[in-house]
Amino acid sequence: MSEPILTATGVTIGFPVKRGIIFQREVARVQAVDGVDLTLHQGETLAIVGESGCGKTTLARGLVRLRDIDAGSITYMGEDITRRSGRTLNDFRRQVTMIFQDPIASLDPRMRIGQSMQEPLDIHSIGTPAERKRKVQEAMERVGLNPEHYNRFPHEFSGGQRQRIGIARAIILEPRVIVCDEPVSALDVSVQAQIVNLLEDLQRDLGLSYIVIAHDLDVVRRLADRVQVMYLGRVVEQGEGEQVYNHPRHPYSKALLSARPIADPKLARSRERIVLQGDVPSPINPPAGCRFHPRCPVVQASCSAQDPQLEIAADGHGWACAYPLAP
Amino acid sequence: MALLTVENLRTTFRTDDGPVCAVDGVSLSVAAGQVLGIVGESGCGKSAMSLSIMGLLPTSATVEGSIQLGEHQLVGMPKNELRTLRGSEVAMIFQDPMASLNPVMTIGWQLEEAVRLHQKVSRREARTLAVAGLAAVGIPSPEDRLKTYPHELSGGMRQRVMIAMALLNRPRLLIADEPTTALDVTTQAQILALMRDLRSEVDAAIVLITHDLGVVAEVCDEVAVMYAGRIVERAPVDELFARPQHPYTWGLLASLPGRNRAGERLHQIAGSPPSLMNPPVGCRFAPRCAMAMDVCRADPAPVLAAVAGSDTVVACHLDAATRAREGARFASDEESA
Repeated sequence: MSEPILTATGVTIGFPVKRGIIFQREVARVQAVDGVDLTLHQGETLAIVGESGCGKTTLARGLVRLRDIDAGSITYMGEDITRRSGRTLNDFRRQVTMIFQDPIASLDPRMRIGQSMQEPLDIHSIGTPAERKRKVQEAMERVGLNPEHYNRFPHEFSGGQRQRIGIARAIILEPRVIVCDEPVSALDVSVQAQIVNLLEDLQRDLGLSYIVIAHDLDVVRRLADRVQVMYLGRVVEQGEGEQVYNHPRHPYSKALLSARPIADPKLARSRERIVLQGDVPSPINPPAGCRFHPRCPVVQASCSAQDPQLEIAADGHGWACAYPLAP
Repeated sequence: MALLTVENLRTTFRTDDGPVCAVDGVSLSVAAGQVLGIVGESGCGKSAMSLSIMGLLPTSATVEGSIQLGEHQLVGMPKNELRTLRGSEVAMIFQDPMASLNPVMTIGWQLEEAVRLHQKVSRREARTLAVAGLAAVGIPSPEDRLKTYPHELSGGMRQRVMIAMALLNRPRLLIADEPTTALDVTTQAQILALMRDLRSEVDAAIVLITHDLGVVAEVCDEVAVMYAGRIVERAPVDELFARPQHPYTWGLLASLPGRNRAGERLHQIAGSPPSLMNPPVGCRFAPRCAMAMDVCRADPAPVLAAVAGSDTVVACHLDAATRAREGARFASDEESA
């Protein structure tokens, strides 16, 4: 494996919980992301999966410095960028860009899509106006959009095309890393396939590294080299895709995997299914001990007292569970 | 005996640019205790069809054909009669529970309203029914939940409340339009398990509208695949996955990321669905079909015809041998996962 391109160590991101209307005071802090480590290598895809509220989107925003982080550090190409600001932060943002879940919400409805895609070039003052336009048209062609549609508005496009616009905007700065937040979950299955193929083509042609945030485990299995499973702000299991999918050690990973619907009626009826009860607990007041223990199907007495730490074996497969499942 | 029989349903919307036929001659039926899945991409007319059955379309739409629910003919039924059926005989669950619940009223108020609109009961009895309804869909401490507002509940809980509300008056037909699309995979599993249980308990017919073939495989008994306003294939669920017949169904099955091995490109259906304003002549899938022949691009369009030796019907000009041979490549048996 090549050099790590982006690493995060002990990243913690919290939100204040406020009381009062005029004289607001902070009464508590929610740890949305609580001490997460990750390493992204050149040219690989790292997926972060988990339910809503597990902190995966907050982590993604922290990684591209859209949110300040409370503790920990983020290193890009060997340089600590945790406290960067101003011009040096802009340099970082040219190289690490983002694709958002909802392409409608992330495009200005009154801006022509050409302008929307050109905006990053304007902000970073790259090239002359004519060069910028040419670059946009190249990017449009690259993601499978007709460059003649440069002057159209977002509402004139279908969901899949809008996601292509979002991707074109993310690659226009020639980044090295793209953080994709639920890139296909708003799309129809046949359109999903087109976008997944496009992301794979771009990775191969442009040497990109991806961090993919998703809750669809099938899409993740398809795209990701390595997977990190998050629960309530923490990584509970990580490893190669094959390790996590075929030999999950953490009960939560296993439950997530068994919950996804299988497009095969015979298999769907016969397989062992673990349906987790209840919802993710509130991170304002996380359960004592292992955070998963109130929902864990194989909980033991000591789980409510001991908080297991993520332990990583020599083969890179790691889990945070005191009673891991058999491989 | 089928509870719901839809025959030759045509739903047309008047627009500034001319009429758009969103549902074009759809026929189907569901029996009590059965789950019929309707699958297709956005814009294929699956939601327009369910709203036609519910009589919830705007006045710009005209519905033709026949929708027979038990002894009631729903097409052309006066609005006030339809209103008494809706919520009691037919109920619907929508994709986004937050948008379908009233944000300024408590859950209890909304549930009791649903009961008292259709049943002559006291407020206290309505309350008891509401509590029982919430308990039936697996909501813990239902009495306390009555006092909460929709925003205080999680997405999965809201969807449970919607299902409880839909089932309060013991409907004979339940239409669920993408009930789990907005939910997490673990919550989706909970809701699907709930629907499986309810099917046997309440003995209602369920029409499940989804774009996710995984959801279809989990809960449906029969499946209708819709494309551009028409049904292209209808089959018992095992048949559909074991012997898919229509090229569009093959495309849908092949696009599923879980069915492809790493390193292989995901299959994608070329092009995009046609505009319903000006649909292609002949088979509507022909412009995107890899196996289209000249006959496919000319009128008349293929009609649904039975496949020999099975309960499947398919609308395709390909001969049976070709369909069997090609379909086998997309059947679920070869899947290893």
